[in-house]
Amino acid sequence: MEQPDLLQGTLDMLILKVLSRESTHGFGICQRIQQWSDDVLSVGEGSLYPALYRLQDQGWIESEWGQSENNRRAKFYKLTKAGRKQLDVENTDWEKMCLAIRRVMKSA
Amino acid sequence: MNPWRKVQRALSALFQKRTLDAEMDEEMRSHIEMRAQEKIAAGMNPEEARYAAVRQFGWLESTKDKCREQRGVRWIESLAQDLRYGTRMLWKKPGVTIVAALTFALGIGVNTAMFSLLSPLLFQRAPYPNSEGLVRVYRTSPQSQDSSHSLADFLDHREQNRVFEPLAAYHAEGANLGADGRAAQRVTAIHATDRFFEMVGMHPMLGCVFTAEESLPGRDRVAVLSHRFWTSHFAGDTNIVGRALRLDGEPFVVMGVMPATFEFPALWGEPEIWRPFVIKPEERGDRDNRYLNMIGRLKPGVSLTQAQAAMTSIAARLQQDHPHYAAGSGLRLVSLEDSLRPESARRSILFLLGLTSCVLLIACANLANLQLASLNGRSRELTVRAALGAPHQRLVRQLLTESLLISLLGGLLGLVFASFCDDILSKQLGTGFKAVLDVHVIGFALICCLLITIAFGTVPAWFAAHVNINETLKESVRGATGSRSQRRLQHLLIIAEIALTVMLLTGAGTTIRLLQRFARLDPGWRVDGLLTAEVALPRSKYPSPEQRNAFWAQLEERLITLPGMEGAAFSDDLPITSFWNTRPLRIEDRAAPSPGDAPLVSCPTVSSAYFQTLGIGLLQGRFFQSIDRLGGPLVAIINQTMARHFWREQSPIGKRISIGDPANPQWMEIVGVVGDVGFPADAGTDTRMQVYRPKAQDEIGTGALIIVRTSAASGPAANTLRRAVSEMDPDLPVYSVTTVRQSIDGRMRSNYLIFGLLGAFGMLGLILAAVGVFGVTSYAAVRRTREIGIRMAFGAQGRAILTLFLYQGVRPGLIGAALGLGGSIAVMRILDSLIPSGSPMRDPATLAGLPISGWAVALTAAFVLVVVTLLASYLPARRAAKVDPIRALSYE
Repeated sequence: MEQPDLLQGTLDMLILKVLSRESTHGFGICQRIQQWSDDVLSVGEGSLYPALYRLQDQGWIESEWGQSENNRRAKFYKLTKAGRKQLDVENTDWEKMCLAIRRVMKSA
Repeated sequence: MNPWRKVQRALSALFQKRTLDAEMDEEMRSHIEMRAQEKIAAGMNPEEARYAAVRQFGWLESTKDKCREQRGVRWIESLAQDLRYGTRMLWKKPGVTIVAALTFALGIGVNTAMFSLLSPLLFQRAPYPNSEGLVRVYRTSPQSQDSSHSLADFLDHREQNRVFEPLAAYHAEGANLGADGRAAQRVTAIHATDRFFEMVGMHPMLGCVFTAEESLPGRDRVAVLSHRFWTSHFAGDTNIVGRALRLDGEPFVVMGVMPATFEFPALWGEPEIWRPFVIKPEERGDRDNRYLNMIGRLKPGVSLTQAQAAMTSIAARLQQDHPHYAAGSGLRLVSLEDSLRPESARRSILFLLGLTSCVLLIACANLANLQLASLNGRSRELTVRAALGAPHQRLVRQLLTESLLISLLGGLLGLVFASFCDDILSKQLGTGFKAVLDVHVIGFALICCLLITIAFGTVPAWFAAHVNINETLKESVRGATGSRSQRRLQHLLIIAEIALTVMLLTGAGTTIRLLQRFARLDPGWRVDGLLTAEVALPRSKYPSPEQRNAFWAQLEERLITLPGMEGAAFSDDLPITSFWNTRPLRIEDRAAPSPGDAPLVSCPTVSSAYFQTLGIGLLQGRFFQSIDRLGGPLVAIINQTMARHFWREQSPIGKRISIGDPANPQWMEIVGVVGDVGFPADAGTDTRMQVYRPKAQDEIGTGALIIVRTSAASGPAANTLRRAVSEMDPDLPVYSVTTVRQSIDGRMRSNYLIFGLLGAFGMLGLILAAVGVFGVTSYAAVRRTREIGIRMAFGAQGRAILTLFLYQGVRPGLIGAALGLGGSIAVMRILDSLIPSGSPMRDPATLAGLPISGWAVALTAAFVLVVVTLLASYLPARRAAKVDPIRALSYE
């Protein structure tokens, strides 16, 4: 299936959104995004991990080592307070953007 | 995130790199495991599932690298890596590194040395608080842009302006400092109006400074000492205030001492003493004598433009009230900072720096070529790294780091070289010029290094990094011969190098030719064998002109009888750089010139023996004689240029002229015409019209320049002279004793040195360029040995191959030479614009408006470089054409 490219910055928002529901590891984030988008979106590891490290550097998410469902050592990510605020900001921006794009597309 | 945490993270990223990397590795591996588990659960066999998981993850190392970049300290890491790697590469090929660094050191060194010599002229600042508010006011006239003011003009401007707070005036005068038990000493005193120190913004270190009260006649017997004089003459005595001094025989009281930071030779010279300027009521209306320098501090909020407008309108009003005095003149306001670096000096500096930067550019072209050549040898290494996934920009950065290392190493050596040059220069130049490595100079060297690395490192690095991976890997083990575009770049560099060298040599050569021309010019008087000294008669002891003239006459009589003395004369000036005294001329029986349009003539005052002593020939009439004395009819002798200008073929003898105020002529009869004199120490001064007046008819002057022609050595002759004066008056100091040759050389020394440097730079540039061009061309030819073998195996004649190689080798040489000749025209134009028109330094023989000598230098330089490229391609080609084709084929 042809994968639509994720808009620049939307990946960050999706990661934050996933982590706002539950703390999970990188693989978990990939799975959630794929599941929740009904297999439309799939995040490549090549962009997921740099994004995770970037968000962590910004202080929006934190990480700690823990046990995965099948007892494997894995790094779990969770949202920080700042991350929660950032998610709100990105959510609002995203709404505005969608509205704007829809208006443009309907105008013709 | 708060900044502290950021720092913490950065530090841990730098110093716990291993731990972080291990964690990252584990995290990603566990991801892959989970993916594999998922696939196994979906029914894939474990082997395949693992493989698929790994493949899906993509390139692990590249992802890790991207993640590391998110840590924010990536650039430090890669810089450290680049530096480590770069140092290792440079260490591995020490020959290339040393040659490159030395080339660079020479280029940076000469530029830095030159810049350190010139930087004071570019960056000098007045050492006073808020010095940006200080403004100098010059009087402008059709003849001069920076002349002085009369007292009446100054007073009018001071009273009427609302833009300066305060406006001050000053002028320097010599004075004889008498000291009990010590030899009398000549000092320079600056007479300044009250509030002068307030205007400058400086306070005395000891005591106080003079005020309006001390500027009143009779109250002015006070002096403020300069720090230098206080330390040298009074050994820094802190009880000096209140002490009495004798100046010109009169008692003065020391009022205060200025701090060392007040000294500023570029503005005031080096005065020993500051004295109040006294405005005598009878001189208040004097608009004739223009001797005052005006300087002021702008009121807060007033701009230079506003001040200029305000002062100009005052000048315009004055011009209406006194049309005669101020006509044709105006005022020019220049901020103090700007006045310290006049436009002409700045242009000469830029010209010199332009020439030296040619040396640097040539060195850089060599470097770039060297780098290109050595990159050829490394193309496989670079290709392998590119094939393994190193991004282009990463490779470029790596190569740039290497260039930067070389240039910094070279820059460091260059600074050492420059400081060595500076020592020599400072010694050679003596006082006045100081070449030191200060912040500006070191900054200049650093900026040079960086700019050059960017300019000359980027291109080869770009070429090397953008290799075609497939092509290079497929090529045989012998390595690449360099791509077509790379060869083109090498040609471009050769062309640039040759063009620059031709320009540099033209600039240096033409300047040197100018100097030679100048040194050979006949000044019109016999410079060698003349000894000069100055003596000033204090007015208190010699009040009347008769007394002073009697003194000079007696001294002359004494001097010529002394052993070794062949002639003795007195005057107020010598034609070394210029005659200082110029005045407007009026000729009897001709229309009075309109105000401001009067031609200016130089008017030295000389004793009768002056012309014979200097060796100036009489062309018509007579010299001054004893009948030309005070009270007798006024007489004058003019020079040949002036006689020709005003009287053409007629004789000017018996005609009457006047100098000074044209409205109130004092007619003098022309009694003789003498030959022209030139100014051996000032290339810029044109032979002007000269009116000599007899010293015996001088009523004002109190001092004189004693000129003796002597066959004795200068030391004993100077002693004889001193003794002769002190036998007549032991209180009179004899000062500035020197030979004319010394004064000329002293004034010319900096010129000689700069021109000498230019010659050295020219040679250096030529050598660098020759070595560079020869190296690159012959290297390219050697690399084509195989090709020659193939051509010969197919039956090409040795002669045909030679021709081909010569043609290909010499083409960039010819193009470079042609471009260089074009550039040389620009260089000659600039140089031409720096020499005043009518100067005797100008070469009369010109071609297309430019001196023939310049063309000769430019063509010679172009020719030499073309020959170098010819030889560089001929020698290797001949060797290759001679060898057996089989051996040529197996070359490398």
